[in-house]
Amino acid sequence: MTDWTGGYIAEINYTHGYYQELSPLRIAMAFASAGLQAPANGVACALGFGQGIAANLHAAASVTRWHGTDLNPAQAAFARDLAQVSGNGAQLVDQSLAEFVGRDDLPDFDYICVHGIWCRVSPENQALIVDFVRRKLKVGGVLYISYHCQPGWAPMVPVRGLLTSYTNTMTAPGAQRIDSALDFTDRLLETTPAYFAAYPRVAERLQSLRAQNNQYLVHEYFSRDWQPASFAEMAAILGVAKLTYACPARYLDHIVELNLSRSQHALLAELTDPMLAESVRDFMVNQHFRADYWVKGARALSLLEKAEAMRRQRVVLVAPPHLFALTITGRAIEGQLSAAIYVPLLQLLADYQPHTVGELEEALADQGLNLVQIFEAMLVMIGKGNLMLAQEPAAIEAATATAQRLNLALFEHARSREDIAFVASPVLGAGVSAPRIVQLFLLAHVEGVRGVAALTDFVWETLSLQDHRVAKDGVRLDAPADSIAEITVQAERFETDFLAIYLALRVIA
Amino acid sequence: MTQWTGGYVEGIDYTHGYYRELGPLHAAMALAHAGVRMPAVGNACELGFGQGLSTNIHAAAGSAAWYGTDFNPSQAGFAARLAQAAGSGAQLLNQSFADYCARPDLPDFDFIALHGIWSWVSLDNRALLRDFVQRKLKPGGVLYLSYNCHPGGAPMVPVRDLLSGYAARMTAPDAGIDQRIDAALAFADKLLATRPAYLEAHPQLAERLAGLQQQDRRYLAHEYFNQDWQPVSFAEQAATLGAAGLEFACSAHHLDQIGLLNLSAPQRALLAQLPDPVLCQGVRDLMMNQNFRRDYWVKGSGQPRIDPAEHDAALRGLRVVMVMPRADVDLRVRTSTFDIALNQAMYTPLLDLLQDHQPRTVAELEHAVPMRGGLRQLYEAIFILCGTGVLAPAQAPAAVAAARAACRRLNLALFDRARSSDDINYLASPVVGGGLPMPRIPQLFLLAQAQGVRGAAAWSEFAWAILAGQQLPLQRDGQPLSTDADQLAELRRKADIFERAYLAMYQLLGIADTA
Repeated sequence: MTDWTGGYIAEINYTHGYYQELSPLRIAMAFASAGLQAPANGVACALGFGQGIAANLHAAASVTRWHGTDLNPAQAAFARDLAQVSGNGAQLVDQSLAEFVGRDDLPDFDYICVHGIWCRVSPENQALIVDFVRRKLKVGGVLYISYHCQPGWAPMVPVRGLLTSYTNTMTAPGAQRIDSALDFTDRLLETTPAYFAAYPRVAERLQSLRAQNNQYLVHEYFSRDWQPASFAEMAAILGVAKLTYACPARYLDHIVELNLSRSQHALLAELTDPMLAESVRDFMVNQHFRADYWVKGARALSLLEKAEAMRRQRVVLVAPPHLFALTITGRAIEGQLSAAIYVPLLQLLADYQPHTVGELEEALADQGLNLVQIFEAMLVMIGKGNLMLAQEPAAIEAATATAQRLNLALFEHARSREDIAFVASPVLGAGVSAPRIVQLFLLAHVEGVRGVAALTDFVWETLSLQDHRVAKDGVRLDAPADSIAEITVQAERFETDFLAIYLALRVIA
Repeated sequence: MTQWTGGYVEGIDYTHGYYRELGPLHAAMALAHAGVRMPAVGNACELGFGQGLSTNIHAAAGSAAWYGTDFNPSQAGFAARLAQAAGSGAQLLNQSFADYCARPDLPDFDFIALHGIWSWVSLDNRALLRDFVQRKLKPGGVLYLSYNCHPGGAPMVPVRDLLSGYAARMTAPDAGIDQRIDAALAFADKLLATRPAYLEAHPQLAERLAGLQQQDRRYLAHEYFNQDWQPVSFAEQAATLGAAGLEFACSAHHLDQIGLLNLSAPQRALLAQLPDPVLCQGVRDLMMNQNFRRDYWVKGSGQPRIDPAEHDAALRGLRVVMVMPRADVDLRVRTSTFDIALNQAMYTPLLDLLQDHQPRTVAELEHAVPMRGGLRQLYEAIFILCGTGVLAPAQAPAAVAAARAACRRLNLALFDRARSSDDINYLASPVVGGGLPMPRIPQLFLLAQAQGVRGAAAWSEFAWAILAGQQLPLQRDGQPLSTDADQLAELRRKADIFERAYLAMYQLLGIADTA
């Protein structure tokens, strides 16, 4: 349901982003796909949680108990407020990594996630993280770690060096440092430097930085420590903490045919060393960013166990079936999905209720679809954002109250801000996309407002009071009549296509 | 791979190259161009000297006392034997950096040289080297440091990691480094054929990877198959060395220093707007797509740049000598950016004067061939001719006299090696206080001359007697010569040319015995 209001997602503030990959509930399906024994789900920890959106959504929507820290007190304070108001029990603090990892009152963890910060912290802090994982991750536990990687970032390293070097020497700390550095690179590019002539793609990327928002640029290009890591390097570093590489966190990365040509796949198959194969694969796809699961003690499933683990996965449709496009864009191919597989699956899933893969397999047995095809289709649909994993009924019951309390707080936040575009679903045990206007519709629904006209009035009243406007196709609508017309269109879509989904996902009571 | 190497590849020796940048006289010219004070060099040190050819040549031909270490025992042994043969007194050892840098019996140094190794050693070793320079380089002393750098080296990091990763994980440790390299390159070929997205995005890298097949395995072993290989940016290097009290002086590559030869007018204009020297070098590296930097750094006096009067005096005191027959001089300069024809009117009088291969001071040249742009313009011309190898810095007469005997002994040892090997192509000259290029065949002629054999006919017979049994067919125009008669005729042709055009010059340069 990522795209239903086009433009909205792109406008989300970087730091308020939500990454569903951080949810520990996603591990089970990835591990089933990789043929590995999934860990227990119980106590989780986020190192560097940012605004804490993911930690709060996951804590509120599931029975996982969360701990975490983020250095930035403003971010931590915001995250703690959300935790408190929802009563999700998340223990979120603003300690430095050194302070946090040195605490003696933390439990051992089933799951630790380190999202995005690895390349931006100093080598000393990287060592602290590895030592923390070594000591505090339970046997069988999983580390999620994401980082900018080689080879994709290698040619950008000198560019980043130039930008930081320029800002450090040529701009005043209080000035518009990024703009001034980008002005300089424009002038530099005009002189056709040999490096950019040799690597024109690097010049293109440098030119595209103008279009990025400054908060993103600060993190990515102007922070003091920043070093892309190679997979082999990470394997060596995490090996010290007794971790083994498990599998990619992004489901589409599990499907070989999407990402590699036949000859690439054949060459990889010749490499008997899995660590080397992973590095070669990064080369083949020009990997820029890795998001992986690492496990303390990998245990391979037998074929029978693997089939059973695949069948156990529970999924639920989170977007209207008619919005599902039968196309897929992988790294290697852009292709059509087979209607013979996806159409019957969508029919079964159209009730927006959770189904296990085993149930789907049974229901489709007479259509000649096998477990592997169905499981792969689930990976694809989740990767495309149309489908998500669902929790067990008991976990859904246990999480419903906290998730809905958190959502009410988020709706309240949405009355005056548009920076958080996700809400919690106890069915999913995770967050689900809901842009500001949708959150206002949901709030209206909770308050008993019914019908397109009334929903529109409710939203327009909230926005117009603050002189806020809505945008259409990325353009701000200034005339009130235009705004009202656009809100009406969206309210109609909400009522016809989306309200039923949010209710099924128990986003609201 | 054994432990004593600290991850450094072994089982294959590094090339027997000679690098003139490691010579204090070369450094003096470069620093004078940049307006930085050059110290008198009494003690010099090279860390990681490889085969030690540069150190041995400079120890025999120059006036400095040389010290150094290389961790590889066969290389260090070779270097120490050469030092002994030359009687140059160079103290060349076979210790790890950790052991060597901790020695209490080393003097303080005026000149320390680190060629290439910085990029190839572990972070721990880099810290040792930095600390050594901080402790042992005298105030005002000069560090020569070369390293693989950004931006040119950065996109190759993943390529290198893949090759060394393949060799480390997919070949047997005892297979022999040659075979391991071949296996890794064969894999690289297969990988290229699958059109990996990284190389598709940067076709230049695909070309560089494909080009590795043609490279010398010895070079590849050290450049691509070490445990450590990390190109660094100039800014990072400046920060590291700054913490050790060093300041950037100038490039050790003469032609690199001259903006006109390397940068377009808009590039020079943009650089002129950057007051920060470190940023300026970093931007220049982007403009030139620099892969490898060779620089001189000075131990901080805070004010290494000298005032104009002292600068002029420093320039006038330098000596140069022509080390190429006048007829061979091509007045073109080729850099990575440009191919430039030098101004005939300006350069001809200078070359005409110097063609007698007598050393002259810049002051004498200023008097004899004045230039409209004065001393600085004259020095720029001299500097460019040194860069292209037409001229070389020369020592003062007393130093030349003092170096003659050691140079002759070293050269005799090198001639002896040339009897059975063609891997060393440099000889020591007491006049230039350093090395000059000399291929194997003329080395054999020089050996004949040293043994009292006179004349081209006799030299070619002498060389043929050595070569005939070794089944290394001589070549002409890249084609191997099959018959003995053809080979002997080719030797005779070379001997005639050598006698006619080169013998007298090399006698003046102290390389060939006089009658």
